[in-house]
Amino acid sequence: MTVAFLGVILLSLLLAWLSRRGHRRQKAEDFFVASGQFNAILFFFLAVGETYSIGSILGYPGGVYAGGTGAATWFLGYILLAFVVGYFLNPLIWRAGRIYGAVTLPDLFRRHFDSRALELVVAAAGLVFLVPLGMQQFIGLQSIMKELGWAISPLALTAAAGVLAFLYIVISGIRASAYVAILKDILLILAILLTGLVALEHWSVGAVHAAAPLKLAAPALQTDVFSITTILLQCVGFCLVPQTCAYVFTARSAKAIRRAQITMPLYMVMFPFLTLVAYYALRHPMPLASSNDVFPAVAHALLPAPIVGLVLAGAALSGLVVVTGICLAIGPLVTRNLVPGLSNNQQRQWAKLVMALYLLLSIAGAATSSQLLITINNLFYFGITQSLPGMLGILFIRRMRASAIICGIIAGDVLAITLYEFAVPTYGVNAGFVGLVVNAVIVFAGLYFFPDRDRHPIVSRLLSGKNMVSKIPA
Amino acid sequence: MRLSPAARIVIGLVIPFLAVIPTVPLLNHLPIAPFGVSLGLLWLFAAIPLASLCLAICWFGHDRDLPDEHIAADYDAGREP
Repeated sequence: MTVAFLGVILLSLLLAWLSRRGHRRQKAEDFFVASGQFNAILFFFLAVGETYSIGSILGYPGGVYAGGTGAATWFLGYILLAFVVGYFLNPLIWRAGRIYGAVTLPDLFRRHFDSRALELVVAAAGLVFLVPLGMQQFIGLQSIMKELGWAISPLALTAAAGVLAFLYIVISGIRASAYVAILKDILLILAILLTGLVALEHWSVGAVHAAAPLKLAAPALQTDVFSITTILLQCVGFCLVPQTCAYVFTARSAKAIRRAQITMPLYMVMFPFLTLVAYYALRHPMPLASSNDVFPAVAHALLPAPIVGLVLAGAALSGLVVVTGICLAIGPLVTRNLVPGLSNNQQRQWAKLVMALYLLLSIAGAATSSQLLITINNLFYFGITQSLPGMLGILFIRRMRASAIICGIIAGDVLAITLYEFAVPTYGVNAGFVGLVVNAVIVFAGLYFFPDRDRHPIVSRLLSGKNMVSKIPA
Repeated sequence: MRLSPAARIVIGLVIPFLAVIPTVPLLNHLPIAPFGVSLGLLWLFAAIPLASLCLAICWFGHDRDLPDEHIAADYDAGREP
């Protein structure tokens, strides 16, 4: 098992090294977004990696195991619709990114609205809400690496994972992430299919419960309202996640993005197999430190050791690829958007230091936190989605005012977190959704009562005919 | 056959959304759970290929024929130290 695991890790490092070919001297934009050169296949693997983060592999079967299929409904629903929304929205975000020379989401806001304050607010919100996501990956990595049975402390194991993630980054930035993502996705597909199919084969062997003792979703109105508002919030929020935007900016063309988006939902056929794994664990009770351990525990119980090594390596790579994606999103948020005036080379160099610090912070956070992964996922989307009204202003709406967007983002974030933290009753409505509605009311009231000067939204720059642009139209 | 922009939105956005948002919670209310799996979740699994099919129709019926864009980006614009 250990040999197989380490073999995959070494192979991933080799792939990361190969990704340097022809790009040894990287500029900041090449390091962060591959200078927008990725074809549909590389964009697909990079973007879809977000779906199969360690939160999905561990959190999804863990959620079904602990809470029944209620959570699974909104979890799958939002991811499925996120791909659909992405088919329409991501090509526009890509076009905005090209026109404004954007590497990050706040770059778009600064250039479109000509507002440094708005750039700072969007960057700060992105940073605040990305911090728990790194912790989430490292909590998952702990669960995975625990299954290896090495006599090493969990903290040392996660530190090793952090060093590995940092190595991928310094080797060639987003290119290494994309190449490793290909290996990770192939391994993960095989791992999930294999574990699910073997669980099916052993379905009746040693089953304690004749039928899985599942907690089916209670048919209550509040449950439905929560599912619907969470799906609506998160399917749009998915396209506004800082690393998703960075992945979109790596694409060569809008067509490459659309081609990749078509096949992305099909990648979700893994989820029925993950459901199968959770059901198997319910029928065959096994000792679990937490519900998040369901997938590695079932793999361990059913598969031969070398295969378990491959399964665990695939799961570990899924966490590592997402961590590198988060790091590559956070680095430029600090060195391009928060700190002004750094040269192209300085942005890349200082970003590496920021990423190292972020990895340390996430490892330390993972060592002290034990929250359920899905809970962290919720808080993340509360904040990230608040940039939606502003994004609509960039893409579709004229005369939106930067100060109104700033007020909306701050009000939406504060309200959502307050409702969530103090458990204020919202009658099932997702707290982030409430925040987004208030945010939108503020922004659109500003648009109605205090319209700004006319700015060309991205859709009005469809640039009839050839669409060849090198500079921003006046 | 070329899709109109309105048909593209209906097929690519409206149908997948209708397949998920009202349908799944409604199906979850039915007291039917084959193999212990709620009907809503089973339907959601079926909606996975449906979503891809809808997007593929949009691609082949409309977006494939759009001219591709080649936009030269200036990543350092307005960022001179």
